[in-house]
Amino acid sequence: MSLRAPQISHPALPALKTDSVGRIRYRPMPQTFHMATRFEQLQRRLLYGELISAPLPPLARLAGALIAFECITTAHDVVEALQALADRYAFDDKVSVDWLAHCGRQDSRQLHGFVLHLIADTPTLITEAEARAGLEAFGQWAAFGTPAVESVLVAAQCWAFTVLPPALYAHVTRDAALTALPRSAKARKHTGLALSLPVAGGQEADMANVLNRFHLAETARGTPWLVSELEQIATRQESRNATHAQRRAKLMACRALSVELPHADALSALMLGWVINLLQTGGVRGKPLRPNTLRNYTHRTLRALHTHLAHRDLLTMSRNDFEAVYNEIARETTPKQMLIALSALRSWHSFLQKWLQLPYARIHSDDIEPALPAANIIWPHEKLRISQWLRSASESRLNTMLSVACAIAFSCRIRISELLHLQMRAICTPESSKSGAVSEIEIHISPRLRDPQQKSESARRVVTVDDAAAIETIVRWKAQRSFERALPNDLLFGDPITGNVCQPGALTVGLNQLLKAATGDPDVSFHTLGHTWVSDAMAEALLDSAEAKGRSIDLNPLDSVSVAAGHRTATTTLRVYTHCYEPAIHTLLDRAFSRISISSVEGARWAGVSASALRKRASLHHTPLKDEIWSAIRLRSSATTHAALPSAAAHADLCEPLTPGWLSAAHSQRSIADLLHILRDLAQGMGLNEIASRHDTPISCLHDIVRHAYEIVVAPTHRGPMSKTLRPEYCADALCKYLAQQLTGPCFRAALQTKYDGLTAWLARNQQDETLHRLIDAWLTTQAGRFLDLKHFPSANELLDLLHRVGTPADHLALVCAAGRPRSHARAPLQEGEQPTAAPRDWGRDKYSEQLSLAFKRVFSAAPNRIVVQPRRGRPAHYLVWSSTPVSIGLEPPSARCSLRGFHAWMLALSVWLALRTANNGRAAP
Amino acid sequence: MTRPEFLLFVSNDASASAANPTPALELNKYFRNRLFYARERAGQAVPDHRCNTLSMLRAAGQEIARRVRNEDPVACLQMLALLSGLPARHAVRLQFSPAGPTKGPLVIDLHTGVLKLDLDALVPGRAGAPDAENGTLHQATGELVRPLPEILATALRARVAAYPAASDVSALLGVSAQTEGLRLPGHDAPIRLTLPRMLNTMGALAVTCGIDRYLGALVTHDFRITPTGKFYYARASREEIWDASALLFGELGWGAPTAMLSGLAVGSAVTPIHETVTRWFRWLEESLDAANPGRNYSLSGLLEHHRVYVRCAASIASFLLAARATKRLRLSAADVLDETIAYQDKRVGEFPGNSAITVCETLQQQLHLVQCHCAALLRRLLRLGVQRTTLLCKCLAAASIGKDVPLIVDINRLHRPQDISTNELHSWWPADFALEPNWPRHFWQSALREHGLPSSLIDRWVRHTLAGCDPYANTSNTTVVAANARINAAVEVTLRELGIHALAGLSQKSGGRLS
Repeated sequence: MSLRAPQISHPALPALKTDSVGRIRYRPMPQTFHMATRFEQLQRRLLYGELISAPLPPLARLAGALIAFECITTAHDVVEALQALADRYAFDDKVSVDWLAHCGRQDSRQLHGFVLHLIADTPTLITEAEARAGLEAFGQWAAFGTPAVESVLVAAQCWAFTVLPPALYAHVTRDAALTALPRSAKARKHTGLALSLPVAGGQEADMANVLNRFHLAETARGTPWLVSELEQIATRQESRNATHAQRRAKLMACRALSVELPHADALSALMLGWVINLLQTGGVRGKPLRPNTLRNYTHRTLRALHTHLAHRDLLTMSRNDFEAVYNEIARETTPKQMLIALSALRSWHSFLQKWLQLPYARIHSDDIEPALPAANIIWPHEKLRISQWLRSASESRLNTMLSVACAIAFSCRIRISELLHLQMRAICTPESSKSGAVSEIEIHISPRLRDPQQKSESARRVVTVDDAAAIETIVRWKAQRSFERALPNDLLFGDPITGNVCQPGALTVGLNQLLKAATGDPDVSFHTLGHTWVSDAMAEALLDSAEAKGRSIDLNPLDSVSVAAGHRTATTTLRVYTHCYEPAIHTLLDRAFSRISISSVEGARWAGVSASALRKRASLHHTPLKDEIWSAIRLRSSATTHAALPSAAAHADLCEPLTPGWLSAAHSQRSIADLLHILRDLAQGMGLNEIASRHDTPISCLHDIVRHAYEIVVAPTHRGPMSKTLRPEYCADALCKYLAQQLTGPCFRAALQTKYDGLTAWLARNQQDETLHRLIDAWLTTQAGRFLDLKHFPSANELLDLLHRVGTPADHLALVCAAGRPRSHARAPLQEGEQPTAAPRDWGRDKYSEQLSLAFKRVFSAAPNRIVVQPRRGRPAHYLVWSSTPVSIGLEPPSARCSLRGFHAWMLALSVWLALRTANNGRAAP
Repeated sequence: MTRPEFLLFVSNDASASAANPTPALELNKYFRNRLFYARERAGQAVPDHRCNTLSMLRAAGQEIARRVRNEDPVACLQMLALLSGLPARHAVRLQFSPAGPTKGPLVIDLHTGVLKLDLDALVPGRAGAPDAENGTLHQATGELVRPLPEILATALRARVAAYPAASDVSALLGVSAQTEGLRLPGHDAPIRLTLPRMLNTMGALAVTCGIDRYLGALVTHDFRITPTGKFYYARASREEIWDASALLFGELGWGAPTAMLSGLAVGSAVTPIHETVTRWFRWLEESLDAANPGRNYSLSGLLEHHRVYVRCAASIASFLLAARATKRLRLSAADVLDETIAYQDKRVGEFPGNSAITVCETLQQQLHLVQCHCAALLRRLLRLGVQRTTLLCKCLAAASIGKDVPLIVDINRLHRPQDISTNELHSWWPADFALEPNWPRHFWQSALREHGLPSSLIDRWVRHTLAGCDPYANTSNTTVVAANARINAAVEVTLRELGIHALAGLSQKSGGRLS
């Protein structure tokens, strides 16, 4: 089935041509205005009484009224609108009717009084055949030519060309149709409630994890092991109709995989997200997928997608790039599998569009319908609701960032990728506002070179925020970021520690969750805010054309909106993003009708008041009689005069929206890595308030951390007063002095060395007190300056056991034994040409060394790399070397490799974490 | 040298201008490229990613003005660049004009404090004033004279006193063209304030602060915001240019312009003055009266009257349609009742086709009277024994009942109907009016602007196109009815001032009734 509306070809219709950017240019034909004049004459005849008195069946009259007074100008639309009249409803003090156009887009009109006047005579339910017959009858009566219906519709289109701006003319003729809002969205506005549609539970948390990984991971890393795992999960045998439990089992398996995401590349993480999404929400149309479909999808596409996309940055790819990749994948499949592959690719790309707002890509197949723009907007009361939720939410960095993100996104059109990569210096206060109160701020949407490229060249723009509350929120956040030592080039939503976007997944998902919770609509997402801003701005701009009389500035407001929306032409802005155009059409038609002279007698018929009353009103108000008549007729179209009509919310399932629970949840649990970063900032001499801000930590909690750290590392060697009676600032100073020791103190920079990756992951997984206490005890016993002293065998044994558990390779470790002469008696340096000789065999072969070697061999099932060195001052007799790379056999490693100050930093953080946990009666650190 | 806060110049190499021996050609090329290869957004006068925001431009303007007052040579160059619409590499090579004739397409006259641009070099082939012209036309020149801000003129004069031998900006100010943009204190936006971006924004600023697009193009040298055709037809007086400059300077915080220099307007040199148009109309009336066939009319007298009448009617129609000189005036009898007609007299733009032209009240009356005249003529011809089946009678009959046939038709020597051409009208009008074939277009371009009609609506009426601003594209939001209503109102006011009305033919004796 063709999706394009059948075009009428007629010499009177304006000629049209579509240019390279999709803009449609019209040129009137010599007969166009002649037909328009004839149509106006028809309108006059209808107004002068023929609409009621003509010998026509009721449906024909109604069809005529829709064509003449509602500017419905295609046969399909007239038939559909006639049928939809039974389901008319009151919205915004107007009676509205919705129907589905031939292209699949929703259309809507706010009905005029002429149509409402006739509806009483029509049957409640109108069939398509009856509607067509009515239209045919009206066409015959109007007698514009042959074929009858087509001629009258052509005349209507010619008239529309004169009274509507081309933007709306293209809509009513379906050359470039707009999309109206669904009734569910209107129901939300009418009642102030939210829809009570089911929202897939748990999906957001999974996606937060996946998106975090996607934004922060490298583009390509290792083999696509995750793809193999996903294929295995999808291939699990199940009955044809998978039960909920079976799907749940697959979902759980996928969630288990998400724990391993740090070892996967960015694309694999995204693929995991897609599979979880498929399992949770089904396909594009929301139906649960059959097991076969999931298997087919994953087997046909995952590996191919990984091959083609693994080394590319998805965020910078254009529509053409995606289409090229998809075509390539489709070509690689057999013709039999092509359809499944295309379907899978379409599902994959809609997933990308939903979560990453990537550009639309056309995936060729005649059997797959092109996607229509999702028409939905967030109403002002819903924005207010979200703002109130955020104001009453618990204080956390994420909630603050959500407030700022909402303040920005509610006031201008911004994409999620643009929002996440806003720089500090992108927030500018115009010079005019600098002297007094800030009345507006400008946001420069222009990413850094290192950030993902923008969707298009036009996406680089400046948007203005003029809402006072939003400005206050944004300015306050910027000040806080400056306090956290963020530089102008840093990200507005940056992480104070890493400099990357702070919790990008949580922020994206949090915004989506808030919007979904406020509206109750599972299809609402952050992208809907773009539709909201553009729809509002376009409605204003289109109404401007209706109201414009003496506009002094010679600009097209549609172009200004298009630039602010980041689009190349206003065509995209109109066709995809504009949903509130009915008031503009209604007002423009009112203005066109008011040019028609009408007597008070005829006007009285439509206004529902007597002619003498109209005349009296005109003399009383000192207005021309014509204006008085038309204002009375307009008043008749108000919904208040049709009180019996159902409202927009009549059949909607609505409920009071619930505040998302996570907003008021307590502080998230602080991890050992967080404590490491806090201690690092302390070591760098940052103030407590600054650290509290950078780490989103309450100051009281920070005081506890400082006190515990002081007790662990400073108090045992420091002869000061008891720590509990000390001020936190004193503890912080002492701690800072201790941590800042260059040679022996913990080194927080070294803690980021790759050799500790296994330890980090292990600490994140294992939080059993007993094991951790054993580790701490072993560390405290073996810690000696920057080394791990192995002189105490039980502790050394314990330490080796734990290192094995952590997954440290045996060849990355070495046991060092100091033997022989002290360094002061060392032999002379090597002469030129002299080869170094191995350490004497008897050096280090003491009993204790053997004991350590045996312990090592037992734990690691491999012989230790034993190194014998000359004794040095400050070094223990037996110590451990832990390297990021295999240690050379027998040779003494460089001094830096012997240092385990990074390990000490981790252990200190772990000690503090455990102390806090103990203080909190076994709960994790707050 | 410490890095100054104001990053414009890098070296003091004043010999840069000597590198290229033909700066005039380059200047001309630069302006023509900007004029003929403009981006759509530039035509729309909407600041996009290649521009700075208007608030940034205003702030920059104020900062530049402050520094010019302190006689900062770099700021002087920047102000000069923004005024001349030139990048710094061209602006440093601007020449100073002595009292005599100008030496290049764009020069600075420091004595009077003005910039002089030779429009003829930019848009060659403009219609020149006829030799026989005797006060019937507005005098105009191809030299655009624009004021400098007083602060800049003062600063430059002070430099001239110090460097009297300097012949160009580079030598006078001692700066070169290597620019890095203007850094405002406390302003570190990612889309930086740079001279090229500011230059791209000047046109948009002029339009936004309410200056007409044509005048805005003249006072900013951003010619992209108006169709090229405008430079052939429109005319702007010195007063208009000074007023627009004052508004623009006020917006940028540049203070007052230099004192107005009296002189000729710039632009079209063939625009008739109002009195000429009034005389022209009177001449039409007198010609028509002179050709009155009288009560005892003969066939030849009737036909002669008709010939004069259709010429008068065609003259008025071509005037009120702002028609180009064409072979045929395309007006159909079917259009008589229409308020808007589709009209095309030249294939222009990416999608050549008809434009929706408003038929003002006077023209509607005129067309109606022509139709009545045709009916009356037909009756008289039949009374004189002419056969109803002749081609002439058939044509008159069809026109009188509003069929789709040419409405204004001449009768040739063989008594056959013949299209009337606007070229022919030109040869019919007396030469002492010195009217060009396209004179209505020249006239309306300036007359309508004087009545406050925005340039975009004038362009819509006279069928001028501008990339990105197609009034009939689906990205436009102006309705035909609304646009025509505004144009109509302005045209009618002008016609009342001129005393022009519809002329009746034979139908005046039949009370204007259609047969």
